[in-house]
Amino acid sequence: MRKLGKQEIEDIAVGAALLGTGGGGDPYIGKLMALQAIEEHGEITLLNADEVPDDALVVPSAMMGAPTVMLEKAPSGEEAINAFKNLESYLGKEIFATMPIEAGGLNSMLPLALAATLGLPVVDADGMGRGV
Amino acid sequence: MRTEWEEVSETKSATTEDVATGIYTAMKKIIDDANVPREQIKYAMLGTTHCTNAIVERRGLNKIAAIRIGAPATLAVKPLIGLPEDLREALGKYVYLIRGGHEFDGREIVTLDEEHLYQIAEEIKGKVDSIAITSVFSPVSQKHEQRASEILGEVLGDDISVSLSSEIGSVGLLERENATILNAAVVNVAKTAADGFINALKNEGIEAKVFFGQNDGTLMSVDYAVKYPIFTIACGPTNSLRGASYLSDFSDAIVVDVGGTTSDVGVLVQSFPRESSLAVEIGGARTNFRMPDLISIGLGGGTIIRIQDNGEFTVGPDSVGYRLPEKSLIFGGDTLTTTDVAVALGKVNLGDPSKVAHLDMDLLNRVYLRILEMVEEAINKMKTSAAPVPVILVGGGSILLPEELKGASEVLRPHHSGVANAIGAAIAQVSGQIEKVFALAEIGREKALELAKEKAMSEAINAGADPESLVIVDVEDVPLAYMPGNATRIRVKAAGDLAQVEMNEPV
Repeated sequence: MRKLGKQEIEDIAVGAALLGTGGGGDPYIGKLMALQAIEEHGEITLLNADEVPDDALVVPSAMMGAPTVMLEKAPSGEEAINAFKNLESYLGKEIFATMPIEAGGLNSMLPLALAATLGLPVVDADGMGRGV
Repeated sequence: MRTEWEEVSETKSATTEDVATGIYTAMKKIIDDANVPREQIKYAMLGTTHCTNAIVERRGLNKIAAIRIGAPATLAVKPLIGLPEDLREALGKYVYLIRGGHEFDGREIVTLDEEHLYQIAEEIKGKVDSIAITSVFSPVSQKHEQRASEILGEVLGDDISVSLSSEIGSVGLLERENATILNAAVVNVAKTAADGFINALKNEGIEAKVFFGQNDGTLMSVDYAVKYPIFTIACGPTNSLRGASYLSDFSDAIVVDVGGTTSDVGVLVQSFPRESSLAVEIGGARTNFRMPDLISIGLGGGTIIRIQDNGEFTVGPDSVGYRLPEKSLIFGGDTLTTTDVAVALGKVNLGDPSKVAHLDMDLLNRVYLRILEMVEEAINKMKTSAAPVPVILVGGGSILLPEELKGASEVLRPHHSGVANAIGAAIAQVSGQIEKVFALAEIGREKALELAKEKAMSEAINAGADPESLVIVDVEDVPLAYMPGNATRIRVKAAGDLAQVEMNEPV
């Protein structure tokens, strides 16, 4: 387990731009979302996969759609929170942690912003090892 | 300068704290030298970096309020989040995020929260002197920004200056918002510079039409400049490049502008600076302005050379700057500078060469080679092919550089190159620009382009251009992916000669 603060977010954003491999959007807005969430809610807890209990519910988070729109109409931040709350009530189970589905581009940053806001840990893993 | 664009007189003068004195000194000297009758001076152009410096140094900034219209959208990235701490502290005291804003196609996200605006107006009354308003998708619909401006004006009166993002930047909320906030922050700085210039002219008995140089190398009227001072921030390097082109008569070349502290290397393409395609940061704030593509290296006439006992040495990056005449060895000072090296090696005739005659010439030759390498590397970085290109040297520090440089097909050192910057400001045309998202499904491409051109031309005329000489100099349309309605961003720029002012007799 380790903590992710503002400097780590800056560093991850640089890596995420490279791992975006030409897709996935500029991590910039996602980075700002994560920085703001840390400012308002504190640092993020990062877990190794073996620190996650076997029966824990880990829900990856990401956004889809046109990055172009996000250039102008940035997210409210409520979108993912609502999705998580609805999923919890549907499954009748508490979400233990979130994780990125793609570790590149904009979607590398959104799970970090969400985790800080909800006070959930992030699992140090991802779905595909790059952005698409 | 005469009407046939012949330079009559040149002078350089250091900036002063109150702006006006420095301008006044330079102006008085130049008018006396040139012996031009005062009533024959018709135009005066000011290219100033006061606003840039104010932002970079966080000095003399307005007390501002920043209002974003867009909630409940955009809450995840509040205004000023990406800015450096000290700038946030200076500008972030009154930040509001209220309900309103538009979708890309002009529909409202939600109705504008007018009540909240009245509340804010009461709250900031007497506490701020400038307000920045940014609404989501305001390049598509300005309605909410304009209504907000009306409400604030109603409560706060006309003395408060209001900057609207739709008049300043294009699509890209955060970049446009930053630019608008910075614009609001330097309104007074621009006013001081403009008043200083105008008063200096008045004191000299000159009745000239006054213009400001802007980022793209064209001119704007003084009223426009005081309202949109942010458009002056990159005029320095732009004017130098334009001036270099004019003085050397070359339209495509690399320009090396050597100042006291740094050298800027830029590229001329068809007499205009090549623009950077990257997001431009001003004082650490990301904006979406177009700026000249430049490399700056820490090498100027006052750059300090440090030699160690073992013969190793460093070149800069610090400099004695404007204190060269008291600090450098050749002028009796105690600091070894690049200028001293050039004088000792006989490259330049300046000051008292006997004061540097005792230095180790072999070592100085190595220092000089390092200086050349720095410049040649910067030139190489700016080239898009390996072929040698003409290199134009301008700026006071360019005396350091030789007649031949690696990568240069020829090295030009035009007359008056020390004041290339001022020349660039003086020869500029007046321009107007528009950038807007059009839904082509509704009006069609032809009609949209027509509308954009008309708007750009009327902007140019407002800025002081002669309607007869107006031409459209740049058209760009970019279809926006993923958006319905065939949305396309169209950018048009018109430029023309300065409108003639009343002439009593031919100059």
